[in-house]
Amino acid sequence: MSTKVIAPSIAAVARPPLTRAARENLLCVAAVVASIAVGVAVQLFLPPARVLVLGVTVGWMALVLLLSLIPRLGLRDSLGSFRFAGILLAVIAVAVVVGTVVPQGKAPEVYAERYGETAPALVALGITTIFHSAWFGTLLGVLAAGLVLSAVRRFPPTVRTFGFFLCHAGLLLILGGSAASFALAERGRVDLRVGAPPATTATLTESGVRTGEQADLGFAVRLDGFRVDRYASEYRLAVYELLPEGGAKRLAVLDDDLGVKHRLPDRASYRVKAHAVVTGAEHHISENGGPPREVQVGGELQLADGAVVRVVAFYPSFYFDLDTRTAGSAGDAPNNPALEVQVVAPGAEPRRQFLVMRAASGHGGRAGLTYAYRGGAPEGDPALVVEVTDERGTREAKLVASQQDAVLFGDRKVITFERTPEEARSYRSTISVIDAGGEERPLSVAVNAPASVNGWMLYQVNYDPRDPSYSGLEAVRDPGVPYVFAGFALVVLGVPYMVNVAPWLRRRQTKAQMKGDRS
Amino acid sequence: VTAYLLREYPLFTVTLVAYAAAFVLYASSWLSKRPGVARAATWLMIAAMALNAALIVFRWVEAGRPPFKSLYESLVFLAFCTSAVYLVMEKVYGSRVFGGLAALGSLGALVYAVAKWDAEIVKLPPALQSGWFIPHVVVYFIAYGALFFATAVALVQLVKPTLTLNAGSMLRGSHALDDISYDAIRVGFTLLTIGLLIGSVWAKSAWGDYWVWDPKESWSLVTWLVYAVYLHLRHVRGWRGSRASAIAIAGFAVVLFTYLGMNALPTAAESEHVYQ
Repeated sequence: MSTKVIAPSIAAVARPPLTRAARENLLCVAAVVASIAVGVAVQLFLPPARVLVLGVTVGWMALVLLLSLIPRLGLRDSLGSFRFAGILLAVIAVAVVVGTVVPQGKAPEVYAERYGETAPALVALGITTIFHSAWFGTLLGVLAAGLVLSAVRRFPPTVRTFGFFLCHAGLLLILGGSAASFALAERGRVDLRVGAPPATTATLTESGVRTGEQADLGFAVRLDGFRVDRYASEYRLAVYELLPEGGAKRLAVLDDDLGVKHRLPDRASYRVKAHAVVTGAEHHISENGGPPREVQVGGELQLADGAVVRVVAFYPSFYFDLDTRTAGSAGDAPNNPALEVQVVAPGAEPRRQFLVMRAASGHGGRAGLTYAYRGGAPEGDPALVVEVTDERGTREAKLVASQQDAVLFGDRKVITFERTPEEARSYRSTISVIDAGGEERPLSVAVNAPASVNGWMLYQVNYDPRDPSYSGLEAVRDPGVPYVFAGFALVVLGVPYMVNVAPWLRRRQTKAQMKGDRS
Repeated sequence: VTAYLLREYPLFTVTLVAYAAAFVLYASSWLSKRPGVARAATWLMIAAMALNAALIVFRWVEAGRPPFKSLYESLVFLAFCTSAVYLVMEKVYGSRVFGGLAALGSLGALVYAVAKWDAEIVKLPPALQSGWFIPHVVVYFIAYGALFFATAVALVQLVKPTLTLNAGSMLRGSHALDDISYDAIRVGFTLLTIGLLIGSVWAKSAWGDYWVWDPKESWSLVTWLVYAVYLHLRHVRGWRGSRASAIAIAGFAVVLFTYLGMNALPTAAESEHVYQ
């Protein structure tokens, strides 16, 4: 009997009433924990549809705001407090970090391989799709509620709190706009080909993966042309380090001014003695892996067994049409050099044969012949004559750009003269948009320069290096964007005002007050 | 190879040496009572910053495009922003106490740039050909400069009780230090906000979406959130002083990871937004 009486009084003595700060702390942490718990419960037991996630987010925000109307709970002041903002933003930051450490939106096998037995739990909890998960949604929901409550606490705006209202209204607009994007945005691929009939639909994608569903664009789009502009390639002298594991690492691009001695790594040096251009083609044929021997078009080459190879023609960009059984060259650039030869063996009919560079000869012709082509781009092939000096002495070499000629020096370093790859400068599609009335409008779409058509934005996203008639566009219709961007504008105005102007106003006010007190 | 590069690029080397000398002078001014030492340190820092600016300008001319494409180029620009922001702060607060750390920061960026030396000047790919490129990068790097300064102040504030330096009046009373760090973070946070939103608008025009949870994007949001936490908690009792310093330092660790650590993430391989 007596214990029953004593126990409560001890508790009363040992636990003084909570201070305001402690109570606020408790409420803040409880609100964050509750948000996550509700989100996780939804994530675990309900299908992960976008509409549902959005519904839970908005519903949770509304519930928190409703509960904050009950003064006894003290939610309004706690969730509108700096403390709550600090705790909640830190928790959201941790969630975002997890979303970069765990690969997002991959196939279940990827997670099974990476995380083993914990993989199913990670998938079920939405950790593999954090940014679309219900609990990330409830965190954003309670964030929105906190933004509203912090504004309610400070209402109405004053000169000093103006930035606060701008910024927090902007953040709410951004959250609302992203909710609209999350629920309503459509994005899909439009694959176009020059000469193909105009496209009227986009194949919808979800996180970059085609769902197979089609969205009606409401207009037709035809590809009139697609162009890849490239930076002109350049010739340069470069120094590489040969890596022990194979391959080479470029160390520097060197000056190629004539006659001047320059330093190289490993206490070596070089001097460019001549700029040269190798013109005309050189053709080399080797037999059964033997040494290459130079031949001229129209000339002959004696083989080991007495047979003679007559060089009939040179094709810089060789092709063979199987239907007409004729050979030809697709252009003057040496993209696929080949020789047409006649092999005349003693006591046999002469046989026509094609020797293609880097391909084994044969196909009914004479086996064992290899053809090598050196230099001879139509405009000539730039080369440098370079003198390299290191502790092993001085040597001179002719470096032909197309041949990857190099001089080894120092400690596994080489100097080489090379042609830089042609890098893309721009990808641009010229399209015609045809509206329902049949009216055509020419437009241009490039990377960083989308086109806007009837609420859709068209982006240049894909091309096929092997098929210049193809262009891949992405069509995006996102009704959330204007709200999000309006929010950005408010935040960009509000943040500087709030964190820089408002404190200055406060200091000025305090100073004026102190002056007033003194007088 | 490092020795070769330093010999071949004298302007870079002189800039590096100027920052190193500025560091030595600023550090000696902590111990020396002679005001000439500190004044010389400032002049050296100004000279180093001017040389650094020349490096950027020459690179801009040579590349024919803004020199913010590669990690090397961005490190050179970071060194400049760090010293420039510091010199402004030195003027504003009339104190050279943090000069040593600022010079060390710029020096560190340049030393790392040597390790990440560009063997060639790469062309600007289509994705970076945008009017948003320069403002996005410049705003961010000035922010990084300001946040570096805030972190240097926060560091001094944290270790101050264990230090006895002749560092002028600035080190008396921790409130002043706390306020200086706070000032720099307010500036840095404003610029982070602007840089983040510029990036988002750019992403909309380049990728078709204003936010794609790309790892670099996510981490820049984390950076913003950490400093937002700092700014909110300053209004909560008990969160100024050393606790605030700790958040400021953690914030800069996140900045560094966002800037340099992306390749450590499994999600970075698919990103077009990461320095290689």
